[in-house]
Amino acid sequence: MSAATIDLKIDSARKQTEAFYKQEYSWQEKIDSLLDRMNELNGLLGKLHTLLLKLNFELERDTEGFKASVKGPESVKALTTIISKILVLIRRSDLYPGVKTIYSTIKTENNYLKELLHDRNISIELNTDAEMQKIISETIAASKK
Amino acid sequence: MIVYGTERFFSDLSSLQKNNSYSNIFNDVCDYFIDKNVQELHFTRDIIQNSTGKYSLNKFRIMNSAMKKGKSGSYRCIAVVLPELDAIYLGCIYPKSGSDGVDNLSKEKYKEIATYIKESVVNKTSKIINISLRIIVP
Repeated sequence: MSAATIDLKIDSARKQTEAFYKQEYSWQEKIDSLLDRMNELNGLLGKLHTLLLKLNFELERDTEGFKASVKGPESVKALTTIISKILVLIRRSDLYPGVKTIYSTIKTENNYLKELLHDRNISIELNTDAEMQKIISETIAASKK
Repeated sequence: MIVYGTERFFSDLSSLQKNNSYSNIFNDVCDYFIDKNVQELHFTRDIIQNSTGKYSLNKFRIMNSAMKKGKSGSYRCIAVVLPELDAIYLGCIYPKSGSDGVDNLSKEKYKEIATYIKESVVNKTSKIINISLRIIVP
């Protein structure tokens, strides 16, 4: 997959997450019944979870595309920030006890997305690190003995 | 495929096994590697890969069967894959979540682990793990 495709996928996920964030208020302000609000929130969180899983899978599968991606890292950063905001909102909500499990799953996946971004940046740094290149050469040489 | 474990890897393993949340760690590691080959591992979550394809430093996510939290919150195993030797060297393992959870590794930490694995290759201090029999070959 090319870096441009990765860019598009990340940007699309970011836009969808922003839309979720805006929708988030619907369960807080517009719906009166507790059960309806709970169902609404569960539905939204289910979609958000699927979106995160898919994105993490894509980025994990195509590490090279993600490394070459230009806009991707910024979009991922923005996306994880929005998700963190959503998680804060939910944590403070009266509906939190009812959505605890999916809340925790989304939090874990969001942390994993942050980890993928972190490793991508480290990976780029290591590729140009002279000391790391030396370690690689010495390991290959030692393995042949 | 030959799976080697460094002294540090075994030390991580034995200290984590004492905690109930990680008691099944050795079996989890064996389960992860049992159906995989070197070429597949070489391209999985590579942190760095040399241009000739003879070396890669990888980070594998290994599910913790005792915690049932899925792969994202499970163990991270840092290893070096040497496709020409059909071998993998497990450098260290740590849980991502739980009481002994470790945060993201820095660039220096990755280099430290890569250096440690290099030394274990040079000094031949690693032990073979028989994944099928789930034993460490003395």
